[in-house]
Amino acid sequence: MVENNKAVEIINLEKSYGSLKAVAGISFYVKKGQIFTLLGPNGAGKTTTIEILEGLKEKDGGEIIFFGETVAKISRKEKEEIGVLLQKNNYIEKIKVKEILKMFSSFYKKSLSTSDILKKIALEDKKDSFVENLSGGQQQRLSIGLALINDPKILYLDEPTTGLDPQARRKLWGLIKDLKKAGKTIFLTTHYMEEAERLSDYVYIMDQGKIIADGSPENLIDNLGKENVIVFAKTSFADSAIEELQETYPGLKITETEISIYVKDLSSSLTELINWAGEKEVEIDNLKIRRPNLEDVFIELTGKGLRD
Amino acid sequence: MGAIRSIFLQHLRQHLRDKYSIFWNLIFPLIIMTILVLIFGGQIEENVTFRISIVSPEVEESTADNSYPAIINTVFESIEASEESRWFQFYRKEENQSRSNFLQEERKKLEQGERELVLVIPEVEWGEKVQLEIHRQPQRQLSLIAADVITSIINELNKEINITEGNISRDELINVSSREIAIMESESRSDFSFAEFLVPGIILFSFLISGLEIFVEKISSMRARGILKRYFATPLKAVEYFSGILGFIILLSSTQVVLIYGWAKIFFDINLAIFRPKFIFYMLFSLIVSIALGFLLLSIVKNKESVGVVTQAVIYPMAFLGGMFFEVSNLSGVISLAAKINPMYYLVNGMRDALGIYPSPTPVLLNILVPAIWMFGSIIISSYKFSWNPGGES
Amino acid sequence: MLKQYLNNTKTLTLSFLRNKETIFFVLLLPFLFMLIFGSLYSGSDQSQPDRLLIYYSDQATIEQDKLEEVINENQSLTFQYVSSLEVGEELLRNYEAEALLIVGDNSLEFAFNPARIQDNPALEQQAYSIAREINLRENNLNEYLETVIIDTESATTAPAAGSTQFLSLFPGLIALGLASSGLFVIVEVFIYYKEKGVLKRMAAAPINKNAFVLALITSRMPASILSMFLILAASRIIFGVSFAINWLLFIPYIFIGTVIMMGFGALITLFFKTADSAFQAASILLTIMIFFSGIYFPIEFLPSYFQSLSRFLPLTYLARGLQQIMGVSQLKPFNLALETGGLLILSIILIIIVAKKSRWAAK
Repeated sequence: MVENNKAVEIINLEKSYGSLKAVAGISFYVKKGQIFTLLGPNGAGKTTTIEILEGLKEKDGGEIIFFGETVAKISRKEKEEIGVLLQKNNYIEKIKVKEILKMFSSFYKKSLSTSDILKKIALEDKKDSFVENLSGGQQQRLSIGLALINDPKILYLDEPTTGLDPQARRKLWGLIKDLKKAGKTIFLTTHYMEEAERLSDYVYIMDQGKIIADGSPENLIDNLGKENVIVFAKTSFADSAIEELQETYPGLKITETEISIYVKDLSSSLTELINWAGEKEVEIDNLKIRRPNLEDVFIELTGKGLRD
Repeated sequence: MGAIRSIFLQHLRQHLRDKYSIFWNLIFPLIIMTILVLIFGGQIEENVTFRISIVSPEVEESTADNSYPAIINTVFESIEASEESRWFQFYRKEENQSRSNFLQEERKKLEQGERELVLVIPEVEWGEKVQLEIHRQPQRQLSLIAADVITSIINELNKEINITEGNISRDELINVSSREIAIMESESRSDFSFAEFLVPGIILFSFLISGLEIFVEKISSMRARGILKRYFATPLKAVEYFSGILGFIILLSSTQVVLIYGWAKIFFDINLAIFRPKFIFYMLFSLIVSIALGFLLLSIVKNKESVGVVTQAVIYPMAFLGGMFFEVSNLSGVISLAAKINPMYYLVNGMRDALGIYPSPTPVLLNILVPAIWMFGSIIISSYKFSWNPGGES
Repeated sequence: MLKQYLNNTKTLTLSFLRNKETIFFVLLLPFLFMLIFGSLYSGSDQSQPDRLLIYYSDQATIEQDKLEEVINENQSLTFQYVSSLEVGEELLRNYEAEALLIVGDNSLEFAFNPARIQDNPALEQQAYSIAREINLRENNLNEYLETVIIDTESATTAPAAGSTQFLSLFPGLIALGLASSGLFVIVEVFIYYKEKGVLKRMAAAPINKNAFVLALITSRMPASILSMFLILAASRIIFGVSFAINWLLFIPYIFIGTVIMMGFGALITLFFKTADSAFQAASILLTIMIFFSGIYFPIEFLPSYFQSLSRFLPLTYLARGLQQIMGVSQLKPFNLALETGGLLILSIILIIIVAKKSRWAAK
């Protein structure tokens, strides 16, 4: 029963470039109809993993099970069922949107009509535009359109919103959610924790070629065991004051500008902190209270930020 | 089949929509051909006028009409009146101008490039030997040619005078003639035409551009921008992709052949049987060799910026030292080596031979063998080194 | 202003010299063409004496030793006898000889290979002079008319050895280097940089525009000078030619020539909106200029309508000016000053127009 539920599974996947182990024996599976996210900083091995699953790179070791079938590599047969959005997308110039859709559809045995795709990605009025004249967000929607052209069983989206402005990013998130509603299985890589949190059903956190945690975003955050994060500016703090704080709050995180304290019981912790500050005569600026997020999970696990 | 067709169509569309590609691939070869034919095609004289000043002696009533200076004058006057006058523009002094003054002025004009030649006919007594001065400007080609032409006219004149004076009869003179050898024994071609000589060279040149520029440029730019990677994330086969591009290149090349041939036929009146199987074989072979060389370039040079530069740096010597535009058999030294290892040299020799324009200076076997070695060498190296990915990673 | 100028010059120079395409078009391309055309012209002009084949037919009436005597007097000929016409023609076809002389019944016939377009006119002239000489000796003809060739002397410099076409190639190639160096700069900076927003960023800094434009002009000079030295050194080492260069005019002319080509580039930018089309137009124009400016072939050989076209191309004047300054052709100070001055003023005006017109910011 469980088998049927898995779209793609990898066991002990390995890939090295020379002496560098980009993927160091990772295992996971993607459930059908879900959005699965591989979250990690740049250089964690996400793109290598996804490109092996797209058939662009060959694995050095491990197993790939594609819809119930163990395959040595992703070949043409599997590619028929895969939709791909690469990290960087470029298209030849002087080609119109509808023409490029037509061309990609000719690469597959089965394909959807271009008008359907154009409707899905909301580019109907741009079908006669040259690709190079589209905006960044429009180009990215076109790339998703191209990934959908063969009505794939699984979609691989590698950093789909990198480089987009917030508005275009939100629009694309909407599109990805719609795809999920339509029953697509989606494999996503990202280094934006907000993106992972908003979209994913299940998250694998990857760092230095290894999986360091997994779970639904809620679970991962809950597992931190902290309800709240108190954040304030670091500016006026002397080193001695910080040391003292660290003794009181072992889980404390310091960045260049901010100090974050993870707490379970917000009201008592906050009172404690303010009293302490009053005693020491240090000022607490820019005080904020927020819910913990995946970034905090990552920091907790690795001691560094996703974008460091 | 659908994939091949759409790759083919995409490249065709892209090409047709880019007016600069059209210029470089379709118009530029015609321009080069036209320039070369105009310069070397032996049609120069039709466009050239020699401006020649004739400084004659002051005409005196007493001078006999049959003095040599007078004869020379008569000859040039008759040239002026004849068909050939369009080649010559003669300048003579005004009535009231002094001879020395005129000579000075005309020599100045010669220096300034307003005359090609100044001919000075001296004042002599009857029966004296006449020494004619031909003033020319050695820096100018036209002036050199004008001097040659005038010298030979005067030599002819000298012969005529000898006959008239009874020194010799016309039959006793050594008869001098010159002719061009027939260069293809098997062909019944009347004349050698430079335009015909050039047509295979220009065709080969456009093929070389197709193979080394278009093919390489397209693939390297698509490779650098990750477009190829995206294509190969689909079930598209490499062989389908190349068939599509090849289809496009073959269409482009056929268009080039038609244009070049048509242009040369209309403007330079050529007569070539380009549908001979042997010639078609050479065209196909050349195209394949050019594309194989393109692959070699793509495999060795990974960086896109370098690819463009290396391509240019390879095309020019290959074309000019491959005998596409001039005969290079008489080159010497290191530079002749560049011709001898150049596959284009053998291909163009083979093409000219096949069309019956010109016998190959190299053995037919080598005309096939040398390009074939390049082709196989390129294919072998490419199959090890070629990479689809940007930056050449595998 | 001075500090800005120096800093800008340094940055722009480095960025220009580090570009592979610069290296290729400014340095390598003129050098390649020098090798190609230098060998073509020098090969046909001076290297070896022409090889004459002689075939004596059965009816030959001209004495062999008289013929040999005449031919031997001609320093630029070597000869050998062939046993049949076929052998002779075959050798001509295979480039193993330049001409075939067939001696017949009181006749001389010269046969040539028509594909040797570069050499044939000279060979034909040789042939006729041999025949004339034999006529004179054999038949005791009187030389009633004698010709003396008088070359008009150049006022300042004597041309170096070798043919003019060969020698005028080198100034032409130096001009080509200047053209590649100067032509693209205005397009690059005022269209490409504008599209990329580089100019906007600069305009946001308290930059002196004049200092920037001056720095831009200066930044191309090292490449021009490098290219010039490369051609001069290579021409000396490879082809053994040296020039009677008027250095006092030559060095300023390298600068002025580069500025003139920049002016031409500025003219192009006035007609094209996008960087891509302006670059393309500039490279098409450069290619056309190469052929119509008399660098590889004498302009005089072109039909008159193409000759008039060459009058509109700045490269024509640049090549001509350099030929004069390098002693390949006669120096005409007045014309040179007039043409160069006129072009320079025009170029500066064009550069100023483009610099002022450009809003330094992409739309």
